[in-house]
Amino acid sequence: MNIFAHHLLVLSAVLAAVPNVGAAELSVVAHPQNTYDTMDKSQVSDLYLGRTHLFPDGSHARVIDHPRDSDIRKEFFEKVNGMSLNQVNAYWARMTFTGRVLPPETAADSQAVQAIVVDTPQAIGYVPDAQRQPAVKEMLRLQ
Amino acid sequence: MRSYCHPRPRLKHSRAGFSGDPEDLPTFPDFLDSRFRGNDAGKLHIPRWLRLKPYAIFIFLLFFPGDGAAGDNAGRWHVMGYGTLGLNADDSHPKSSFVRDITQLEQDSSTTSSLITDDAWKRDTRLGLQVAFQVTPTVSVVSQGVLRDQVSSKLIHYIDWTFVAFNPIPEVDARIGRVGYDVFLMSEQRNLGYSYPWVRPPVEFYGWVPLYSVDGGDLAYNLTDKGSRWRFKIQGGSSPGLGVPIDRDDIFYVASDKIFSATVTREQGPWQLKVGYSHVTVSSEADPLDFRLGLFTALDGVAAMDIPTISADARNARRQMTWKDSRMNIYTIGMVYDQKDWMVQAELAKVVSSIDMSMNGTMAYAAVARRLGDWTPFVLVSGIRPGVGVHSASVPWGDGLPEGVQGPLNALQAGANQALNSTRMNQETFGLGLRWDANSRVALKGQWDATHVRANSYLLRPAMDVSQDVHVNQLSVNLDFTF
Repeated sequence: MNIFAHHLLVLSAVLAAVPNVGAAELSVVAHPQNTYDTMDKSQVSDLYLGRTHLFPDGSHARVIDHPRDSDIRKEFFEKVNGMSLNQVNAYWARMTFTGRVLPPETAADSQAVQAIVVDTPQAIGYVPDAQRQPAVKEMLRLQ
Repeated sequence: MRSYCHPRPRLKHSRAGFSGDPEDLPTFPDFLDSRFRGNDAGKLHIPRWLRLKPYAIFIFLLFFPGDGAAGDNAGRWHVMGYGTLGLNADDSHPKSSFVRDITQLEQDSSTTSSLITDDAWKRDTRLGLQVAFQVTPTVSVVSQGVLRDQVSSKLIHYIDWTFVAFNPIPEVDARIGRVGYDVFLMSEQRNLGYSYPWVRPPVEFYGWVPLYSVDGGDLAYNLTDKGSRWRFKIQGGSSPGLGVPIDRDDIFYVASDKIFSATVTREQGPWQLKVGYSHVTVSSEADPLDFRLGLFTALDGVAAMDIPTISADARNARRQMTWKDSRMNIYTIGMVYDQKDWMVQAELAKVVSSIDMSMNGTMAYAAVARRLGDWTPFVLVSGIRPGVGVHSASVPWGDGLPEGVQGPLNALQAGANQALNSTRMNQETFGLGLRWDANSRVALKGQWDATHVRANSYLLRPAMDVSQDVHVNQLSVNLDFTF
């Protein structure tokens, strides 16, 4: 192996080890028993903006979000509806403090999101596609 | 003594009333030194349980142990808050302190040479605390208290809402209790600086609104059709009324026993359009105890004397300042375009009241903000035009009458006109500003406003001598946060 190939392999390994949410695809995931197999961006956006509490079939959704400052949350909203994190935070402040709706519950990380989704038939969350577990159902891929 | 044009005269009440004899007319300067008190909120025709409920539930919710906002919403307590630290300075001369809305009492700053008055930090500064309990996925209890600069010291005026919200069916949401007055785009978020780019809702549009909340309830029907979300909402109830200072020690609680509002909102993509109508019947009188009763009595006395023209004028003046049972109709339309990089917001409203001394006018604003990462520069234009003309003594009542009567009659006429003109609003503001989102919970804002207060426009600059047009530059710095 020449020196160039060696450096390329090392660099690739390093880059692969660095969390890079911005470049990752995200998966919107739900419990395997969810009656829907897919959702579109608009439906997911409405759930995460509190415009609806229901899945398209009318069943109640338990929406799981990531921490307010997390990179994955920023990436998610940019991909799902084009909103910046500042815009989302101002929006949720308005929704919360006008008493219209409470913000979604949060989980610490993608592992915790999936732990809730696996245990809760009505739960929905989002995780990096690379970290998606087989036990959850992918409803939407965000690229 | 304040000038003739000052909107908040200290008119003396003649406790003995007016006999009908012009000799008994008190001279107007004598009116100026007395105090009067507004009516008491306890006289309102609202159930006692409703009056107690908002702050009782708020205190209960506040001190009940909660688990914070994490975890499943149902069965959890949510305690959260927001606030603003504000400071403003202006170049008004002679100095007059700015008021953000008509519930604030202007400070006598005429002898101050500093750009910043002693109360400059109070106007925009506020602290809100909200406690909510999600009983079930479809039922919640919410209470919010807001500490802000306002003339009233009654606890009930610091509880903006306390209600039970429920969704009986997915398309319907309803609230019962003290709910936010909702007819304009920003009706329910006026205190929440973090939620909008500018330092405060445009004063010309929101500064005069005498309601923050309604004791009653509302019902909304939500409909989705071809990508559009429609929201049809009705709201009804009463209000103990915000306290509006009429003098340094005297408060008029603009109470209402009938409030009805209807709004239709359509959202599609980044667009939002909202049209609204609101009817308010005022149930309190501006001066039931002293101040205006003296003026009323004097005017009634002149009206009963059957002096050609003068008596008719006095009768009309008396009618135009009778707040109780007066009606206010508000028509409004607003739009928002809120896309990732740009935000455009505009509203137009017309207020028509059954008396001249109540709110009358047409008001509008337009704002454009550009998001550049954490920085959001914006420009804002707002204005208001009065719906009634200036009441002036084109023909002094005393003209042609015996000399001893002239003074008292002319003073009474001046006092009546002064009172009737005190709610006129005629001004516009051009503003430029910048918001910086320091982190996900804190935003720092700066805004420069150039306000042109036109002659005889009193309500929004109550301490200013506006016998002529006045130009004021104002600089505001606000730190908004949530927690």
